[in-house]
Amino acid sequence: MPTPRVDPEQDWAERHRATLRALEELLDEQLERNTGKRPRVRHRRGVGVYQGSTEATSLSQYPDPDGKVFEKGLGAIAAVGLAFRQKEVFLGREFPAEEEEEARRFAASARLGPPVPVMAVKLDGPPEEILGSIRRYAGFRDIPGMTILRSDDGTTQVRFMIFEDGDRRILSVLNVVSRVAPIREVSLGWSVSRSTGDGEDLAAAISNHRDNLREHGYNKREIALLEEGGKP
Amino acid sequence: MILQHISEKIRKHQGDTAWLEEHGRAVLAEYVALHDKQDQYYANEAFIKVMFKDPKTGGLFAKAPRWWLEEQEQGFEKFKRDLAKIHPAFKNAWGGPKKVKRDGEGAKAVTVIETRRGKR
Repeated sequence: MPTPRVDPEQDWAERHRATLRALEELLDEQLERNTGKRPRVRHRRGVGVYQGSTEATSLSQYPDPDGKVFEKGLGAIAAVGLAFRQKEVFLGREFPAEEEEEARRFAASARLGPPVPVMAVKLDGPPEEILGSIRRYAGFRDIPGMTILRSDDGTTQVRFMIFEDGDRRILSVLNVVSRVAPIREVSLGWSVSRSTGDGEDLAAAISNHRDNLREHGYNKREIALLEEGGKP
Repeated sequence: MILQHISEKIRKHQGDTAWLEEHGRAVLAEYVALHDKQDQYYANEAFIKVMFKDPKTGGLFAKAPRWWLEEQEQGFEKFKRDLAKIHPAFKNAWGGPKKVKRDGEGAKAVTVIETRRGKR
């Protein structure tokens, strides 16, 4: 694994480049193929922190009242994973904090493991200042996984998934960012999560994307097309 | 940061909860110890995401051993207490009333997909 690259301001500036747009288009097409209809979606772009490195990232939210996007979405995210050489793509069913019981029942019935706490914090300040504080912080400490997005009301949203013994690094980074931009609002919940790929090894990731595509009815030719950057 | 590959000898037990229950804690500690102190946090994260995942369903922590789940629960309780000290908005975090619905489907649940930039 290469040295972490931490340049959130540059990633923020690049979030509207063509690659993420192409990725979102492929995701929508493949979800339509897998669910039978074009799902309603809100695509948002920002910066993600993955294993200490920052990257431009896309976060897509589906109202998904019948849960079909979540149920059938693994094939679609595997298509994106293979076409864009992603190590991991994540698919989560998120429940509000007060629906913990529903989240647990849903996870148990789908045999997907326990729901993980998630948290979105709205900060009253522009993304650039918050991203700058994260970069300075990363100069001397580990940065936890998180996603930084702009909200409709002009605030900046920072999203965290909480695991690893109630990650103390999240507390630490929250202390730092809230010094440059005060916390305006928090929303808490539970996520039942699936992923395609492999966070540690790209070859294993590609192999898992292919397995997931086969499992969801993609034939050899379609998989090869995706791998070459085409569309099935 | 250079993370070591998880050896094939260990990786072949991905999603094998019974094996992880018995050997997981020791092999996780061994894997993390292969790294410099500053990389151990990321090594721990990489290991659990790979080894505790169900490769068939993609369930991220679907095959996590009980000892890890118990550690998560204990850690989360402390995390919530510490969080409340940062800002009043975190008081009673995740502690709201439990609603019960008929079909187990959260009425307000949404689906979220997160992807990185990629290299195409």
